[in-house]
Amino acid sequence: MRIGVGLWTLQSTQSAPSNLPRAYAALRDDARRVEKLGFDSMWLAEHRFWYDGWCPQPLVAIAAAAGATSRLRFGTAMLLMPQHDPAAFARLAASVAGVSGGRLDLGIGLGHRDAEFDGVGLRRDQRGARMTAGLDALMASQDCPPIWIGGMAPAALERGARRGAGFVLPQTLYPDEVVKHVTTIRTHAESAGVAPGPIGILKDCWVTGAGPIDSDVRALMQRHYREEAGSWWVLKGEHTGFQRPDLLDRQLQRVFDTALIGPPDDVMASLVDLRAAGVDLTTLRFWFDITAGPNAWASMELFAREALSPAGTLR
Amino acid sequence: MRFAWTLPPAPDEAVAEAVAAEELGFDAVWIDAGGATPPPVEPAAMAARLAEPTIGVRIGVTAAVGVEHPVELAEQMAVADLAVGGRLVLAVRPVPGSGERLAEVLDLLLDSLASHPFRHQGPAWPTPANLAQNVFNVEQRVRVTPPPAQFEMPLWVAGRIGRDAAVERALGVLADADEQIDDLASWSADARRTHPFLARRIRRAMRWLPPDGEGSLDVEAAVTGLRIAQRAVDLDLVVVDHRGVTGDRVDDPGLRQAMMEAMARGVRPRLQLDRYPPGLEDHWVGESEPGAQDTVHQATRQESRGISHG
Repeated sequence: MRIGVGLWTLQSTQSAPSNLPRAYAALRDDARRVEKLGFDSMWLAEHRFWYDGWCPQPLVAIAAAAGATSRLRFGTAMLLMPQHDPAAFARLAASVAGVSGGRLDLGIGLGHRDAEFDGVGLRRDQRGARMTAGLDALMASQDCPPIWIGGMAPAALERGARRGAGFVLPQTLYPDEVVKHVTTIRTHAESAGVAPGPIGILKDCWVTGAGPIDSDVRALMQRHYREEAGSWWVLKGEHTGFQRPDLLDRQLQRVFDTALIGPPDDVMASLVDLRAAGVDLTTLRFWFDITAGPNAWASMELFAREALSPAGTLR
Repeated sequence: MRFAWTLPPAPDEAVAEAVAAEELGFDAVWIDAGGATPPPVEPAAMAARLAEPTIGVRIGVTAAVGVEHPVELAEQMAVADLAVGGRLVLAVRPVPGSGERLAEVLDLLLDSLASHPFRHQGPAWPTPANLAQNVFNVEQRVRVTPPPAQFEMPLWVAGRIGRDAAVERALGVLADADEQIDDLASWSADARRTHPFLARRIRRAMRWLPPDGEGSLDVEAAVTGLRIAQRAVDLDLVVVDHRGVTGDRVDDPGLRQAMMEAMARGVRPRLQLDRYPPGLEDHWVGESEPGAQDTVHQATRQESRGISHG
């Protein structure tokens, strides 16, 4: 099972202010460091029109980081493909795959904020149809990089599985749900007569034993997700999280139940279970605005030392 | 006057030539698919890829506009500018048939590359669109984030179409290589007359095919030609397109390297002087231009004569 790390978002948040030109220069240093630690890949995320500058074009940022590295792969979890013109999106993806020497893993998702669609003249309720059209354009293009589809809605699983695409399952799944989704994907692929694509998953992660913030890390992640989910997630189709603290708490509880936080052996054991469930690639999210920096590096270094093979896979 | 070197389309060659151009003192490198649609490599990807191997050279791109949403281009260019530490220069060229949309493209790009919330009314790209189906937490004004590293990213208009729109907004112009100097000179004079204050802010750039001296750059002709353009148009930047000389040997990197050298040591220093002090050209030719002595010597002689008599 390949092991990547994420998620670089290039934000300057209320919790963790950052000078953006400096953050973009640091991205290249971070990529070098991730490569040196021996991880398989480094993952970036996408959103547009955020107060904190969340990188709206991570493929462009990846092109820069690729110039600082030679082996490391780069992934997106996720690019919000329905928000882009399908043909232009396919060209940019192929170009970044080209300038990186074929080191791109293209993770694509739907996007969830009405305002992001509205700002570029699109309807959010057409995102599924746009996803299908974009996916077909992408897979028909020459030099198409490996595709990983995000999400777990039945339509998303079927859409991707029937095309033999890979998947990136969300970080909030319980182990039995992972098994269920892997089975669903394989069944759809089989009934379409295609080989099932590889299965990836995101996991919020912290390996304890390396730094002074071990005991705070749950609270830090909670603060991160409370701001994001409270402000921008739509719960029950009609409320922001902050408008419905009860729903928000329930959502956050799921986040913490499913995060991999603990000493190296515990995290390893969870990863072995994921591998047994059929997961081919796990992207561990150590890197949040609020955890980024020396403490996250210490935790990642400890993990790399204990768990990584020279090929960037789980030992 | 500044000099830019147009990069070849293949990414590996482009990276190598960008480094070579920087080492030879070029002010910028330029990414331009030369009208190929779609471009072989998306300009934002190529520009960002140059972040690491280059340090100080400015990175120019010519991007096609008129079809895709300008906010998308603004985001790509802002991220590329952040990635390269504020060294990006953006020239936009309307795709054929989209000239009448150019003013809207420019206005939307200017708003998107600033850092304030705005509302743009259209007609092609109302932003935000406020579509009836988008209901949850939508905005009346948007702020395109992140802003570029530069407070004012250079935004130029490439080609003949839309030059008036550029002047009205004090944006730079990048002329095509096949434009006549006389036409450019008359445009420039008109701009100074109709917009006396704005015209002073307009950077004038020109794509340029170097003159072919039987297989190598004709330095004499290059200096003479560019001197005329410089005086007629107040040229600020020459974007060198090596295809003027390489022609069907476009894939010969050794030839391109020799041209770069001739531009850097033969042409560029001479264009930075309006007049040569006595003896300087002999010093240049004797000390640092072995191999280029004959043509350069003649060029400087003729140039300095022409200047002192003119």
